[in-house]
Amino acid sequence: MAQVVLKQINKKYDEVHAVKDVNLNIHDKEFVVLVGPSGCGKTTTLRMVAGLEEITAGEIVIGDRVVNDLPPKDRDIAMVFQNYALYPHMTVYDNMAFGLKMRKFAKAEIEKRVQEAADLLGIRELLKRKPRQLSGGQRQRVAVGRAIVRHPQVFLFDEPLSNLDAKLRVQMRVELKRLHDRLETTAIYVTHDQVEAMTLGDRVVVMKDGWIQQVGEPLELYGHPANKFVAGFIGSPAMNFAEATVTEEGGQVIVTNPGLRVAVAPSKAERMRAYKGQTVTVGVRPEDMHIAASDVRTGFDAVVDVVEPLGAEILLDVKVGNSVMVARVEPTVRAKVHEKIRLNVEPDRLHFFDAKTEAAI
Amino acid sequence: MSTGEGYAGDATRVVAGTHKAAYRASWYQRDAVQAILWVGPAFLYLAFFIAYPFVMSIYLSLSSARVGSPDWHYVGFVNFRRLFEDPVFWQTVRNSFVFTFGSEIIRLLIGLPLAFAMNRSFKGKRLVQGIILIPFVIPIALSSLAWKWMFDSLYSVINWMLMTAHIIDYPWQWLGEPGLAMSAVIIMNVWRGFPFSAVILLAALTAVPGEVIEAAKIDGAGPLRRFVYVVAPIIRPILFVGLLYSIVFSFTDFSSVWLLTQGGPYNTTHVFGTYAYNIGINAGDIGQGAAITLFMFPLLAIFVIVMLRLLRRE
Repeated sequence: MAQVVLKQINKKYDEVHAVKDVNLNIHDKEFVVLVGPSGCGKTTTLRMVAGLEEITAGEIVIGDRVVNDLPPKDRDIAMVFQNYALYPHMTVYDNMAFGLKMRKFAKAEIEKRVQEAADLLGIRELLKRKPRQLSGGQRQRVAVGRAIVRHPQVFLFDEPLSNLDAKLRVQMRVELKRLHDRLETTAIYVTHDQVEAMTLGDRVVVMKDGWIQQVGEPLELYGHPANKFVAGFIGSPAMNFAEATVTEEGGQVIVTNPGLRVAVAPSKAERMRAYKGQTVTVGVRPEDMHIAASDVRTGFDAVVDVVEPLGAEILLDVKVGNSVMVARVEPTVRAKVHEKIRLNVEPDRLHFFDAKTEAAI
Repeated sequence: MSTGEGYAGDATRVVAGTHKAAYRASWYQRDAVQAILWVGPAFLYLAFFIAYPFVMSIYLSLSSARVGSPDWHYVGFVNFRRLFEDPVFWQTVRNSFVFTFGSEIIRLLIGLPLAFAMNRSFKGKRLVQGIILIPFVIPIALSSLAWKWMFDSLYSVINWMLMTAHIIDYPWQWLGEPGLAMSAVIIMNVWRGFPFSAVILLAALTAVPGEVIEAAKIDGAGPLRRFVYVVAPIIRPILFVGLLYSIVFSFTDFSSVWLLTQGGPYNTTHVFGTYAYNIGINAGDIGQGAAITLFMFPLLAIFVIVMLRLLRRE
């Protein structure tokens, strides 16, 4: 059990500055997910914590030790890799026991720990098999088992589910969450999948181009994204964006562009007034757009372009003015392609971003 | 009929239910004909250049055939009996083993660290890779000339270096002293063969996933234990195959010994190939020569079978 602290962490390769001034306090027993598109520096950050990558500048603390110059084996961490990284020539039992053998644990203790982990993961009957005789999901369980037998201070996960098929991924996601609740070990988890990040993380760290964009609890990121990138990255289908101009009509702050006209909620009006006459980016989540009666004054017209019936919901790709947006509507809605519809948005569900800095307003 | 039409025609006939007729229409599409076309060249090659000489050597080893003499007949196992009574032959057997395993061990000792070094990325890696392969691609007839000079009794650059470094105090007769001659032959064979070993080992090492090595690092294994417990077992099958080829090549080697020492001095570097050539071609006793080459066969066969068994168990 330990906290992990990253202070001003930087990683530079010859020409690439992969990780920039990362500061992060991961509390004891916390499950923190690093998420971002490929090349954002999340895996590099994780590998620096593991000791597989040298730290160019900054300090990493695990527990109360600065681990910068410690080799991976002395950091008291365990890692689960994307491709499982099982030892192909060893049985499942030996795979799980290897780390303990290297640390000269007594045979009885090794046996006890491996059995415990195998029970926990439901792989007891696989202990005598070799990795090649296992399915992807079973392999990943063994990889997790190899990590937990060590009883490390910190678990590191490097996209552990990305090689599994969609159904298995959902199942393993739930299992990992249950496992973490039970083991209560600090965990750092890297993924490019925002759904995984949202469902697993106590807190989620969104990264891009080596910078941390925002750190927060999943719903905080969803409801109050710090900038346009986080807003677009978290949530599926992604948030809709449109450029629009801020005006004021009779004391009411309004954002308009050809085809779109929405009122700003009173809570944001004050801040938006500063942008009067300027262009801002408006963000609307697909589920915040509703079909409205045709005479609603704050609504806007749209033309249906594509209808995607998903069963529990319908996604409508619509044209609003010059921009294309996605609306998530009730499955009872019957919309046809090329049909004109009127959409409405609750003013307090709108997000606004500075057009230049992309920061949330 | 063009192939395109053929396919279209076949398809319609399959639908019509007269499947066989389509194949009768184009005789070259039949399985039997195709089999002969594809396997034929390899079969002919093996038959003429492997099977025929092999059967012929068995036949000759049981005969009294001599160069230039048309009159030869079956003599049974006389050639083999004479072989077993020939002390030079037994010396040749011993030499062949010393030559083969001496070369193999040194090749591994040089090749393994080299492969590890080449498995990292560094500037100029491709250039180094190319340079390493040079001994392998230079014709042995050429490179042996250079080695002859390097081992020359008067002009040996090796002697010059060793003497300048005060390691030896008089010029060694590399090709003239029994022990040294064997070392010289092994040195050249190692020089020629280590690129092969290194390339095989490098291929094996690149087959070990980086993540597995990292997992072992995190599991607490240092470089030595990583090699023993993780890398070596993973690359073992490839290593076996490489070793198998390498040993067979060395065991049957003729050119490097022949070009450097011709089996001398005092037969101390004769291997199966050179001794068989000496007796069979130079001395003209073809039957005896064939018996010598055949002696290699059961040894190699047993060795190959054992290796392949081990490999399959992996």
